[in-house]
Amino acid sequence: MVISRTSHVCTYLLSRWIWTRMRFRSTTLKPKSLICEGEVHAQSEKVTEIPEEVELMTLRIQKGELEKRRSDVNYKKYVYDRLKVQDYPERVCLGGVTNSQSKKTSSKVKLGILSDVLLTVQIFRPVQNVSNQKYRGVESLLVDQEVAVLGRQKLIQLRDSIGCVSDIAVPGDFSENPNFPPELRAEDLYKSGFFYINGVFYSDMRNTENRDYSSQIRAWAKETVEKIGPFTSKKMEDCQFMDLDLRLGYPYVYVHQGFCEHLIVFSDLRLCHPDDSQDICDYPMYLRTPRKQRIICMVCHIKTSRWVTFGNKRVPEDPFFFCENCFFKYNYTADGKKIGDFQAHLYFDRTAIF
Amino acid sequence: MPNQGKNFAAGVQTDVDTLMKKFVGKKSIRYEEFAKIWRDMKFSLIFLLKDNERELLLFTHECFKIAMNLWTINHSFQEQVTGLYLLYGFYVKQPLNPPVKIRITLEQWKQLQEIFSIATREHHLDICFIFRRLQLMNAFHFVATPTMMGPKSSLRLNGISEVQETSRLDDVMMPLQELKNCGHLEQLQAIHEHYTKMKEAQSIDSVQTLNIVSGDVYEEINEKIKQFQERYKHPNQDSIFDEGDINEEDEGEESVGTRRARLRAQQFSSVATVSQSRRHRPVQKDDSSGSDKSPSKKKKQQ
Repeated sequence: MVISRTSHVCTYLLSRWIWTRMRFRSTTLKPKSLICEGEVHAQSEKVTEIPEEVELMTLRIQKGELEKRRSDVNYKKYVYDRLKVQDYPERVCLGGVTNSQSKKTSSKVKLGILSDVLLTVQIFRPVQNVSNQKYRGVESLLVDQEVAVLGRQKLIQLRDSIGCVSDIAVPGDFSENPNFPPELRAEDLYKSGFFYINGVFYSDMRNTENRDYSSQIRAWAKETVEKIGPFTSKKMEDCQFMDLDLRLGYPYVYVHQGFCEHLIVFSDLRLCHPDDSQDICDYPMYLRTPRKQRIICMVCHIKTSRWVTFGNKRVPEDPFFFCENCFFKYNYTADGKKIGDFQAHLYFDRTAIF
Repeated sequence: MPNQGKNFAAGVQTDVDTLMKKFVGKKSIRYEEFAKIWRDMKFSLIFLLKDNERELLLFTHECFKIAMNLWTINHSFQEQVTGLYLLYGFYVKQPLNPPVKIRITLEQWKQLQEIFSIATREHHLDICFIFRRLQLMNAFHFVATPTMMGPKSSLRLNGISEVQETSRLDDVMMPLQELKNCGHLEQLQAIHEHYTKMKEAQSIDSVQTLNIVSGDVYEEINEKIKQFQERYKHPNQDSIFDEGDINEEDEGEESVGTRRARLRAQQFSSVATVSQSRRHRPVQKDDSSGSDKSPSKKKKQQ
């Protein structure tokens, strides 16, 4: 017993001694015992043929795969589609620095996050009109953002990090006075929101004017014949992620602006790693931001749209998107008088969130 | 083609099996022997010929998974050690920079600790060293589930395709099982025995030495069928404590419909209970999700 413990300690000490002597970084260690012939050449240039005297089945299959992809475009599309599967995190480590020297920088205050857990949250795009014929071919479950939060952080921090178009939009018709639209965004006017997790509504009550959306839902649930619930309500600002009973891969809901619903999925849970950013201000950290596809002005097809008109008879489609320039030149005379009868709203594209 | 997951690590299992056979053949668990076989097979080149980085990322994760599958309890200690060496090899030889971390669940970590404790007890210093080295390199990401969960993960796709594959396999295995059970082979065997006896009883030499059919032809056929069934047995149906014969008899009696329903139930129950870390936590009943069968996940308390 004593001998085994000593040998165990010896092994550990031996490895640490070797470690400090070699002073290597985890990213650059390549042991000599596993170096194979032909490997050096393979790494320096892009290889398209199987090297000589290599009898690995994997390479043979992969070669066949590549040829098939080259010859059949549909197959290539199918494979690239399958590559988008979100089984593993895209970013290998969170944080700008990837080597162990990050621990030595004195400017970053180590806030002991190593004992914490990291939750990956996927936030989906809000969907309307799912049953509408027009949108039938369109994929309705699209991941808008992916955020990494620490277990000790509160739900309000996740809420603040979720960026939605409906938040930054400015409500109201500004066709009469387009030059002076007010800067009041929807997120300043309607600040309430809640998460619905496991039968509990976590409402944001930081502001005294915030409404509890869940009260109506709970009242309705009591009155229904099927007896849904009972539901409870708590404050979002009092709740940390580690207090919640979560199920990975299970859909939860985030509602804000009264009716803007987002599907939320907790996709991954792991312990914090030394290669992750040790600065707590970096969390919640964005792992993925929305796609950069923007809605372009339908007149010039160059700039991103800033205005949208409804009921405008002088344009072929309703609603119709304009950029700043085209909007004023087409819909207003030189004096600034409105031509025709229409409603104009400010439009903020998805790409404007980040 | 649609709604089927794609295996981006096709062929790796075969190569790992080849390496395993060679290593087991040497009857040694020394790292030096393993490294020699790795060099001879030029295993580091397994990462070549990938189209893009994303494919390489998925491939590397799959390789880790295949190596860690060797740690389960139905493998011998030598096979488990091969798994550890393979994991080390894949981790240090991967071309990606920064390197992809090994996603290890609690269950797999326990298996690894088992191997490590046996190694320390029996003074296998190279195994200890490899394990400690991986630890010190911070190679592990300690996760709750092996893959990320969600509507966009391939579990949804693979779950369906695995059931399809097993039912296709059953389309092949079922007639074979029927053949074995319906008794035709037994009857033919009886006839053959009768024929052999009659042949021996004959007095004419030319008849006695007639050798058209080999003596134990039906035994050979039975043996071959059994081997084929063993080889293509689906891993979900495998159990260490099951006896092969009992399994096959049950299969023969079930109809296709009940078998498919059983597989579906098996498959979906395995999807729901994929989180390994829940085993050591009490099952918490949730009032609102009353119809759910799987327990909800409890967060790690700090």
